[in-house]
Amino acid sequence: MNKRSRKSYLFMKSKTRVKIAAGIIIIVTAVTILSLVVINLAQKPSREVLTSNAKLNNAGYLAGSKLFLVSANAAYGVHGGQACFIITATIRNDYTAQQPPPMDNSTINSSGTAYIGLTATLYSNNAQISANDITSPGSAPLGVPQIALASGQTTTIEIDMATSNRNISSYTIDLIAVEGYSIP
Amino acid sequence: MRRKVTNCFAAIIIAVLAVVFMSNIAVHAQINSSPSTGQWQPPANFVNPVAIKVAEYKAMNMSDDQITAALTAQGMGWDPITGAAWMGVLIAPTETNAPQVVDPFAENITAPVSSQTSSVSPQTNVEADVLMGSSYNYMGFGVDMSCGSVATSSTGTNTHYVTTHIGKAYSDGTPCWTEVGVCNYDGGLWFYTYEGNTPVPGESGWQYVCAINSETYQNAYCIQLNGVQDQYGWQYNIYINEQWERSGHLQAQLNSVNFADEIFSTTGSYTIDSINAHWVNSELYSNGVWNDWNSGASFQNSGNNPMPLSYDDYIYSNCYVYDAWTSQTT
Repeated sequence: MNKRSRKSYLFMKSKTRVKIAAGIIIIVTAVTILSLVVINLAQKPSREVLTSNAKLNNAGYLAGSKLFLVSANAAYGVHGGQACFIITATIRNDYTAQQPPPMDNSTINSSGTAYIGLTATLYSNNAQISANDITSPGSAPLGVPQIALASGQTTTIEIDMATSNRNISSYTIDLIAVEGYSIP
Repeated sequence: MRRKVTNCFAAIIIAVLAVVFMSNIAVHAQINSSPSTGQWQPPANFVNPVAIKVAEYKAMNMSDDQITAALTAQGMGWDPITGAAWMGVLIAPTETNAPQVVDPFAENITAPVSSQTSSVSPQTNVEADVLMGSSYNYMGFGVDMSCGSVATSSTGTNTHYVTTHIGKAYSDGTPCWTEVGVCNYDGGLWFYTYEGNTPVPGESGWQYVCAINSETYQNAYCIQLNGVQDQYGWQYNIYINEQWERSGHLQAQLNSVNFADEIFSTTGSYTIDSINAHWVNSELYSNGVWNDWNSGASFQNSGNNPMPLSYDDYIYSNCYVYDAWTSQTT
């Protein structure tokens, strides 16, 4: 190989390396962006919903507490890629400083604020069906989001129950925790 | 020239990776290398000191009230009905030797506003957990844990728990658990134990043990069910640094275990930790045997996006190590 052709060969080799490196960078960048997009999409619940005519079984005060279930609506949809029965419940806290929620030796001077956890039981033709609450499965220790309501406050809470059943006839809102402090 | 461009690209990628890696290390580097208390396990057939005293007093024909008074004088407490027992006093809200807490909503609410939507936003909480997947096979755990800064502030995180849970929900979904860890209320760091929705309502609630010794020292935490079921449920004992602190009941004999970093805020802003919480030497108790915890764990969080908590987990000395810290304000 003469000097000129050797120079040309080395140049070509260098050019190939540049192409390979550029290719790797493009692939890595594309994979990273794609991964971020997929993760982002997976975390966003789908808003495609289909209204349900299921009946709410238990409006009023929940389980002997002073938490008043004002209303609830339900729909079929998807959360985290799973088919769901999605409940939107409006809750009012009627606890007060004079009649506070359970304090259990907490050092808080209660103003009536209640820390609560809600889930739901679903029925199809009067038979209870199995459905996991996937609203926020990593929420220790309740397994559902912990919501704080000041005395007199009304708020709307979403409950996502994983099920592919599209014949839910009725549902019950269950109060699974109520305390007068941030539940540890 | 092109080779230089290639090298330049490579250098940039390496630099970016190094920055990411070092930012992770920077937090870990703040952990003290204080010696672990080791993989301590409670003695077999342990009987807590309160139960021993109660047996002595009953042999002396003392009434329950007399026993309660005698125990209180010795810094002990018990429930005469269920037999639940604890060291110290379950602190009432009027006591002054507990961390003082201000209800975050107290200043915002002047009077109950029935049927009105308040301007106060619901408090949010965010957790980072290592969970044992779907397995409910455990009668106890042991772990050495340094709590870290457990950061709070007036404008960010208002309540912060670095803790450990064991329990299993009732069939209707109501959670039932007990726990031991460190809490921060308004800047005071305390060892605490807590029971939530246990079979005996009167047993549930708080025990503030004492102020913590160090943010970076690895204290040993252990909860163990002793295999005894009475009419109130399955008995358990809680230990901190090999000292018994509390007994009570859980509804299930076989339970799930998790370690959790829990932060609460009413402002939507969180306080960044200067030192991360660090769990090490994790062990699980099952079928009468203690085993290193090194498989089956999964990480879960509350799913908020963005997530203000960061975490890391890996195997060291044949056991899971778990780190968690608040890394973002929102």
